[in-house]
Amino acid sequence: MAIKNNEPLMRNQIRRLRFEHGEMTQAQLAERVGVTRQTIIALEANQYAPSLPLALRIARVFGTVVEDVFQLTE
Amino acid sequence: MSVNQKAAWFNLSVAISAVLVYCLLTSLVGPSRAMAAWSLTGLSGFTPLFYRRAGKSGQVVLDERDQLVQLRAHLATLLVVWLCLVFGCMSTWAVFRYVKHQDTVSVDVLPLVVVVGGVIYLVTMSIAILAQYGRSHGDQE
Repeated sequence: MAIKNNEPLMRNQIRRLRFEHGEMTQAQLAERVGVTRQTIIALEANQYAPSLPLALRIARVFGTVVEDVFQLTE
Repeated sequence: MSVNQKAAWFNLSVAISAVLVYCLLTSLVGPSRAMAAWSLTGLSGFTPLFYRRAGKSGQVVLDERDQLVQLRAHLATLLVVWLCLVFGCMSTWAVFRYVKHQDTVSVDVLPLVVVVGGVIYLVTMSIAILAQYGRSHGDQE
């Protein structure tokens, strides 16, 4: 689902978490969660809000919960 | 560049080529024989090969974001093609009926409606896909 202007902005810590996990590349993360690298780029740029299953898979890769990866900013 | 983008550029090239060849042939052999140029749009039937070839390498070809882009592009295309079809057909009817005062149209009008509809479909779909990817680009690691 894409982010609309009138919706609360969704931010994420994917970039920071990647570097904290052995400087994981976008391609490596994309492969592990089953998406394209372009989608990881869009996620990190806050241009795309992922589905719940994808958010859960990303959180699982980093060994944390979804709230630690994605946050809503009012 | 994603597979969706490659397919969109291919379809856009096919549509533009068909229009250019039709215009060229119209000036050379007339509009009726120039209709053969529209057969070029059949090349868009090779579009699925982009997805098949990308799948062989084992990497993800289409993910949820790509599917969302396709869905939006389909909706936009459906809207544009329908509006163009209705407007094109009704305006053609109105011109022939009330301006030219003719009760019949050339048989060339019917295939022209179909192929122009197809070209509008290809162009709109391609532009809708490319525009959506164009808004979110970046290549940093």
